[in-house]
Amino acid sequence: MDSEKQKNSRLIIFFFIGVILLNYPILSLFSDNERNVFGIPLLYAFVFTTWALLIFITALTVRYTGNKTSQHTDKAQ
Amino acid sequence: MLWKYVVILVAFAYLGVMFGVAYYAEKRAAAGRSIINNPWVYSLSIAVYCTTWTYYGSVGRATTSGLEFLAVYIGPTLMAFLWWPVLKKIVRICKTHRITTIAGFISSRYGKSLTLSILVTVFSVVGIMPYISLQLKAVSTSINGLLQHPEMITPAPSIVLWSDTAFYVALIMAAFTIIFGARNLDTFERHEGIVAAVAFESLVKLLASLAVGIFVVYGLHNGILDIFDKARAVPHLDTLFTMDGNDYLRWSTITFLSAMAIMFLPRQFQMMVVENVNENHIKQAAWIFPLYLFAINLFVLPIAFSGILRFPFGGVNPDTFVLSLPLSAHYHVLAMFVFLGGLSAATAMIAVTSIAISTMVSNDLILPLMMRFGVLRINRQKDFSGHILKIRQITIIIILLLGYINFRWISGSLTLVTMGLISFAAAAQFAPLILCGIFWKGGTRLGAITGLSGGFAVWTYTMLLPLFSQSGWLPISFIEEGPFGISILRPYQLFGLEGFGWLEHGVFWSLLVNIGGYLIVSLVAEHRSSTGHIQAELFVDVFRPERRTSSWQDNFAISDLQKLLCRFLGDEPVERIFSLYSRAFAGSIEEKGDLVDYAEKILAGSIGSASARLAVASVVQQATVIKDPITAEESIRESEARLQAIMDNTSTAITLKDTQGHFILINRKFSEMVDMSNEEIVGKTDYDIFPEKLADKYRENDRKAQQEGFPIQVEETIHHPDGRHTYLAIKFPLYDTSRTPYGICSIATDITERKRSEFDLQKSHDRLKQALEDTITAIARAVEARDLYVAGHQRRVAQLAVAIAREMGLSDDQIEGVRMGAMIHDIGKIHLPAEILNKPARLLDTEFALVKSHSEVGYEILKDVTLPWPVAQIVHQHHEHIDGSGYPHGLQENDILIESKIVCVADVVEAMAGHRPYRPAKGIQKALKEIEKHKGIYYDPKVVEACLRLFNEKIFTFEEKLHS
Repeated sequence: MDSEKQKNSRLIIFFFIGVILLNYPILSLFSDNERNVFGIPLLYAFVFTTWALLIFITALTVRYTGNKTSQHTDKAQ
Repeated sequence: MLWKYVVILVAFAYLGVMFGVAYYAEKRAAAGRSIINNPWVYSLSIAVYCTTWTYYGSVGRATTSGLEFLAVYIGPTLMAFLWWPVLKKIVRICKTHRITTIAGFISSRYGKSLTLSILVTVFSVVGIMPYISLQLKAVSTSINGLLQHPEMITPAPSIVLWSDTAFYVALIMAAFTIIFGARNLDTFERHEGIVAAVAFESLVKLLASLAVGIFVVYGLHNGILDIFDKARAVPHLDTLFTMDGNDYLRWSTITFLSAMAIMFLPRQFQMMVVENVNENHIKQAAWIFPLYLFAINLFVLPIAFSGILRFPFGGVNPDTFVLSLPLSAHYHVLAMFVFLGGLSAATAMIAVTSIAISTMVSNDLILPLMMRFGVLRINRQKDFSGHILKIRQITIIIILLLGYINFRWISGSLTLVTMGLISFAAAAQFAPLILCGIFWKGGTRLGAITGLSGGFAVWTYTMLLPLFSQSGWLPISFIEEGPFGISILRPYQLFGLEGFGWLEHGVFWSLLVNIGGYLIVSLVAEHRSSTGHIQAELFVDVFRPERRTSSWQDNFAISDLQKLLCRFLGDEPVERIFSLYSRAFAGSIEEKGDLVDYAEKILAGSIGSASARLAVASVVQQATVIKDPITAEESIRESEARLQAIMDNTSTAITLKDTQGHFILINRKFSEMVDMSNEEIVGKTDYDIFPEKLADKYRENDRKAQQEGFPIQVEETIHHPDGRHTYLAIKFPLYDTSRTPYGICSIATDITERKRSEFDLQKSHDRLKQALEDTITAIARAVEARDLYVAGHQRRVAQLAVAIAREMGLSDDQIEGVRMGAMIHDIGKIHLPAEILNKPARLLDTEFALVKSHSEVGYEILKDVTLPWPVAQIVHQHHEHIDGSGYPHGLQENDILIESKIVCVADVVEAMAGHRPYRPAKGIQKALKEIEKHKGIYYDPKVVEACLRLFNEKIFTFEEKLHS
């Protein structure tokens, strides 16, 4: 039960972090025509990178938070 | 002309492949080997989210608004974080209450309200129409784009109906949907064929997007940077690189809308909730699906810029860049592939949407209305399942035709994304009712009706009506000056709200009215009916163990209820379903009210909750006076808490499984034992928790308990980190009132310690016994050392005596006594002088008298030794005869121990068969004749018979090596 709660609260926290990162005013910090990352417009680079990171974090969280279960069955076998 | 036929042929061939995939999946499902039961297929099926809007429209949007198109995919990515906490709950609720549509969900949550179910259905049909038109438009444009090749100008759709390809496409899609979505009635509304086809097409459209992306970036240009460099050189194009002003508000609005749409669009609800096979798939889909979105959008911006660079003078619709770019470079095969991707994106969206909508229309709109107004005579007509299917099939066709009409004559002029966003805004109207409904018990029926109809009205006014005005069905002044010139009611500047885009404006007002109405009315007007109360509790507390509160009277005939079900579901499934009752709900039919609740739920799975309630009400009366639901709930909860407390504080592991082996109820000890949480265990089987071998054994034991029908005790082992533990499990089946078993209860005590000490005790006992035997053997040797001729005699007597005892069926303990006694029956001879023992001639009378004393002497030696067997007596009496002629005491018949009688016969037989100092061996036959002759005189007849049997049937021979 506790590991489940931990997983849920982490997911909810990451949700809010994602909402904040990908909205005004954070986005406006990167909305700049003068700067770019290796030739890619800064805003594009920022949004795509953050997006990829969010997906990565979701994957890690659902897989590894409080997942004693899978380890346990491994041991039993 | 040839090209035209190739295009049409390939398109049909591809639709054929989709039919094939769906057909294969259904066959596999029928054979019990589902191919959709895994998180990857589940995630791909959710990708029905990516329609032609994504496929063609994203690029079009990017050419005018830069990054904005991406918000539609950022929303779902963020929402995916909440799938595990929120979506899982919705899925569980739907599975528990057999809910198969959004309308069913909302209506069921708010007191099974018919008004709500109708409202949601109508709203869904209207709200989704622009979205369906969008798909048809995209397919039509892409077909025409292909057919017009090499002409690059996008043509207007043809005027005549029968020469319009889009019309035929719509018909084929209707056929596909009917075949795989509305061919037969499933109580769970699952469509494995459609799910598999959607997963397949999701893969195709992803590959096609990536292919065209790679082609544009590396075929037409020198990489992504090259495209951005060239774009920078074009004046004003670099405004697409940034956002400012209203862009942010629109970005946030679309992010929000898409976050809601991903869960509450009818087709998403169908795929994610209704077609979900395993709740755990949600966990994986939460990252696989966003990854899919990421991949399919990776090349949108480069393609958009490349299109602008390549077709700088307009004329080519940016919504078709994906297709026009490869065509303009004469890459026909690639263009064909791209076209197929778009075609399948549209087909999947339309199929899933129309299945979801047609289920809603039949279950939540037409059936309940027909029942309410008595058009359907439930009590007269025989079989309804045919009607239900017909309603759905017709609905599917109507939906597609409406979509077609809408596209041709109303919203055809809009861009793909605009049409889609209007539908998104409609789907978002369901969100407050559903999200608040599953976490807040206070939301009431009246609040929901107010909020939803308010939101719906504002949505219609600010988003839908302006559409009509734009396409000429309403005067354009409606938008510009407001209805009848009332400028405060201008649909895009309602109440004078200016400075918002039409989308933000509409979303703001509709949701304000929706949420505000819902909350305020819910707070002011509380639940009117007990059903409202109960449903709110059941939804919010779905993860608590199920409680049963029936709102039906129990003065009805069960056969009526069964007949009712048969009319909707057919005879054969109903029989099965009634017996499945116990399995699905792990409860006993203690009151008839429970059965009605169950029947209602089953029916709800097929015809929706509002219809089901009406149908059941036709045979069962609703309870007029209901126990105060709060007190009833409380007392149930109290007794549940008491039971839980008792279960959780015992040191035994308690589990309750249904007859299929799924855990229903477990206590804390068990969850500690397997180191998993209650939630993780419930619903799983032993096979999900333990290694297969163990699980096999447990299952076997469960079966045994079920077959026996009464408690059985079994020892079960389990591996803990500190080694193997043994549990003594008491297992017994649980029965409902009709004596059908519905579960196996198991109460297991850890007896590892006891087992260990038992084992130790047994070991030391064995060791002691061995020591005792060794001692006796040593004594026997001591006697035999003096008497060479008798060497081995005692051992052979013991061997024969044991065989006789066994033949006579003595107990193991007695046999052991016989063996011990026989082993040392001549111990008294230790007292005789060696000359007498080894004298090679007949003994004198005095000498014989001395020899006879050996039984007495033996007895004297042994009588004070405490042994578990009467060894001293056996030795003492082994020369007594039953007629009283033996020595030393001349005992008779019943005074002689049976052990002694056996040793006596064995002694005589062995002695005569063997060599003696005073005579040579006489042989076995002679010995047997001797005992037969004196059978019943000297020797006990039963013993003699046993002995003769042993020799005659050659069961027994002396072991030769003992002679050594």
